[in-house]
Amino acid sequence: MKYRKFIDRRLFLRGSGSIIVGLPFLDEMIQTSVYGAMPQADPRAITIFFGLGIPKYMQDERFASASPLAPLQPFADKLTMFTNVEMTESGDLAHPHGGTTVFVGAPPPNSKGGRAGGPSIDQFMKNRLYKNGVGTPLDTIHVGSFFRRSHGLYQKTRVWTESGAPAMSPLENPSHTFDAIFGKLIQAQKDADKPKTQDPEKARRQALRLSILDSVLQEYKHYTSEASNLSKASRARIREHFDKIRAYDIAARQEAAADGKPTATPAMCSVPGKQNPPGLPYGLAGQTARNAPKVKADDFSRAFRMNVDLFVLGMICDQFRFGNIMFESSGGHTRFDGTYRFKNHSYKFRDDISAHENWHQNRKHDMRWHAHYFQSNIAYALQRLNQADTKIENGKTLLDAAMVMVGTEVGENHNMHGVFHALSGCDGRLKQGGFYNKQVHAVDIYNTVTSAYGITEPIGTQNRTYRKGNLNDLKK
Amino acid sequence: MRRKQQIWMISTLTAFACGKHDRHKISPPNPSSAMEETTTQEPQTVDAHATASAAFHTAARFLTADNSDSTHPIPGISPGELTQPNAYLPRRLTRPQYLSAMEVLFNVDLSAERAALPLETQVEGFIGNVAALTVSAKHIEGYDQLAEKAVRKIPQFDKVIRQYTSCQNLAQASCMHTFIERLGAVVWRGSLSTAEVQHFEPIIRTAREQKLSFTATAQHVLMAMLQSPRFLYLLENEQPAGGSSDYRISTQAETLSRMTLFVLDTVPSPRDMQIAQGLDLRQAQGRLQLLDHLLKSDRKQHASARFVLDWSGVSTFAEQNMPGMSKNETAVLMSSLVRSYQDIAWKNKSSLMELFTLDEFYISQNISRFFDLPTARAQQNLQQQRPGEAERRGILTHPAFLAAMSDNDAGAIVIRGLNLLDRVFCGTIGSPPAELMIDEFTHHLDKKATERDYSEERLSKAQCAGCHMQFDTLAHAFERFNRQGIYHRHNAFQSPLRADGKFTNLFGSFEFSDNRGYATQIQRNVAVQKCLVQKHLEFALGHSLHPRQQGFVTRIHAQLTQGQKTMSYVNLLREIVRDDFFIISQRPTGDLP
Repeated sequence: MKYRKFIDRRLFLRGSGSIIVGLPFLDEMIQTSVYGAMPQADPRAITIFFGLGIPKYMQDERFASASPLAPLQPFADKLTMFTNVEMTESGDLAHPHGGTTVFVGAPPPNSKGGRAGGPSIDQFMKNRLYKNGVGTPLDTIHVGSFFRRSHGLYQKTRVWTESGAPAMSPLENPSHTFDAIFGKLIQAQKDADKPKTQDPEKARRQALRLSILDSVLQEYKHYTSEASNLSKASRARIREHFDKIRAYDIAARQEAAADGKPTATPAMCSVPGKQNPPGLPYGLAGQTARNAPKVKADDFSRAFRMNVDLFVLGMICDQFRFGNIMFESSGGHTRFDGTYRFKNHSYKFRDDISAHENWHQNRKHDMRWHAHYFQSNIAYALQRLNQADTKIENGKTLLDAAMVMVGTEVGENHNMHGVFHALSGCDGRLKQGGFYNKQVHAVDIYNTVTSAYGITEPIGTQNRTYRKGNLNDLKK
Repeated sequence: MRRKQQIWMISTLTAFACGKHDRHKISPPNPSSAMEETTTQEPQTVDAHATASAAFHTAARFLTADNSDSTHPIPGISPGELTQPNAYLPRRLTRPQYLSAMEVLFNVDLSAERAALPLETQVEGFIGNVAALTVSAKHIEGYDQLAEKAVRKIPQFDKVIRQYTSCQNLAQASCMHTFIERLGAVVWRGSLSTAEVQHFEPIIRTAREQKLSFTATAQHVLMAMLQSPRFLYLLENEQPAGGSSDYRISTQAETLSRMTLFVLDTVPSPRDMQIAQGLDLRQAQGRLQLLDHLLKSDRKQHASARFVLDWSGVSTFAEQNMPGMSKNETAVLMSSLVRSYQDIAWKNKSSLMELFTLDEFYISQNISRFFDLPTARAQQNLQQQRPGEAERRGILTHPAFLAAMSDNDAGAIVIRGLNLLDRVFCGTIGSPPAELMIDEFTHHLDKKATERDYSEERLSKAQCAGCHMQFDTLAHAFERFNRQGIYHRHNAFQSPLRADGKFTNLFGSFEFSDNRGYATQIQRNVAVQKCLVQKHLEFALGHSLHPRQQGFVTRIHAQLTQGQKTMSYVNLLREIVRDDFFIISQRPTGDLP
């Protein structure tokens, strides 16, 4: 039995001054059914990417303290850890192919790395579970910390549209992330906090603006329908535009509705103040190996974690429901500087070459501790998604209630065997926790997830030479 | 422009756009009803009426011909050559195209507001590649803001309205509908269906409630038009043509838009529509006549500049500095590169292959260091002159080109080689072995080793040479040019850098003693000629070519190089638009790629 929307998520709260105060989430706000079953939340999907993979033999060490998976131990009962994932469907060009296949499950159309072979799972789910649009002000958010961006979009793009084109460029600078997620919300709040005077001219302008959007939306609607003379593929391309303009329209209507009324801040939303991010060379054009950008690991992590915080808060505020968090790009080329510490371990980064070169040179010790460091940051994202203040409408944290999938682009060392993945319970749809060491293909994990959400259309390549996997033992 | 001429032109344009292609109806509009509409709603002058009526008649004839011919197979094109999933996804106007469209249609300069839209990322070589033309939330906001700014900037909007309708009574529905149909036909590059005219009702209704003037209402209508898919996308009819053919021939309006995007990097102007009105664009002769008209426009240089910026990869740096260069140096170097290309294309009208043996470059004082020249020997502004080092020859040694195809000093041969393979030879290469450990081959090399030393190691190993031979040797000639394209004879550890090499791969085999010799060989290379044809064709179509479509490249190249023809930019444009491949519309195969 499925339950939806047990509380009104858009409880209006008037701010005090320019500070928006969010209501704490109270368990009493949830109505439990007479059967005691926890209701399911509106679908959300978050993919979390890290670059360069984890060698299979290190994955098999599981949570031993020097194992790169050790930082994930706190989530052992929340995530299923897949340590024997094949991604050979991608092709064999490690970073371009793996980077465009992870979360997609289909090979890219060519080796140039500018396009994927289809949508990423977050976009795939969004378009099928919300056929009339998600209804959030933002369509998708993609954040990350990474360098090496000149070689191809595969390096930095993790969200792909139906046609395999990048859905958006990742936001690197937390200042930009803040503006993208909260800029309008804060402006609306400021407007609402101003002394309210009836401004007929503004109301008139707003009505006209909305009428323009009405007209434009009708035009887009026509070209996404079968009544147009476009093919299905072209209609899907127009649909991507349509969805974004609809989100824009919703935001405009909210803005209009808020004028002179209490602020339309979602009940569970608490917008932070804007903080200064660490001074990284955001947007730097790619350099590699010895000339890769040298960055203090602590600064890199801090920028990443600020982005994670903003991403999570944006989701709590229901500004968007789909997106990706990325720690280092596919084939990442950052030269980390400083020391990484974990429990009683300490590792001094080798700062003369980029992280990637450790893989190329098969420096096992350096690979291990780079991967370990990467996972400690992934663990931060998971921990943030699991905090009590992320509980959404059904009383579960985002980690429990959303489809959260961790993935990377390569396996053992630049090959497509043992490409680590981890998966949440998808709001009770799938079993949670434990290691899944049976050989499974990435595309089968993706299809298991989408079918658990009731989507019958397959995602990813269906032209497989290997046996189609069935992860029935993952299903409840 | 005199009033009579204005009226005639607008009527003609409306006829061109409305008459020949209805996006929603299979049958063409009834020419007699179109005339009646003109008679009843545009009672301007006798001359204008007569001219408009004639134009509608002509347009209707074109439409009928378009539909009847669209199922006819084109000799020399087999359906198998056209199979390319995703080939004809609708192209969205790029940022430069959007901005120039505002100038072309309304004489409005929005360049100061260009930051409202993000610049497209290069995908598969071009920012206009259909795969790059997705939208973000910033686009949506930008289109909204820019539409309003553009409309507010249009001088004397009342006059614009009068060009399209004489009736300005908002209470009378037909007045605004007529205006929408006629303005829309020009802005949307084709006729509007009844349903599309109805889509503007929310604006008209709100305007009536607020007692807006006809002019103010018209402004809001135009704001909506500028955000619609019909304006922002090059939408083409993708319905099957019927019969046994799996493709159709693009309509007059579609072909015109394809040509202006290719030749001028913008949408058709009212004048272009007027000229096209009298031509049969299904025929090569008609397209060539239209091309002759388009080439009279100064905007042709916008398109050639866009081509060279994209082809060289320099577009990547449009909004950021090239590594190791200031913002100003980056901008001037980009201008320098473009001017070299424009000279070959428009001033000298010589063979494009001469790009590879340029001896002079556009140099100014602030970029002279990249050309090995003391500042004192350069002019203050960009002037053509020889670089300081004679080994620098050809566009591939232009510092902007070198910077764009480099990645860094370490590994430059591999990255430059791969870039040259793609951009100059249109070649592709397979993937490296998954478990390859380069350290195993190069651990004996010390820090003084040059990139050539590493490359020689790769080429001496059977495991590596098969692939690296295909691209490493392409880049050996540039070893002395660093990431910024500055010439050096030694690396940072005083190890000598070499200029000689042996080019041995699928595209030929020759030895060279320095870059000058290399450049001469490249200039003669047929694979390079064909690649330039292919790149221009991909630029024209907005998508990469499928391997099965190589036949078209070969055909166009053969036409271009037969007899005494020069492989000039203009001749290349002529052969591309002459070829019937240019007017093919193929429904994307499969539902989704």
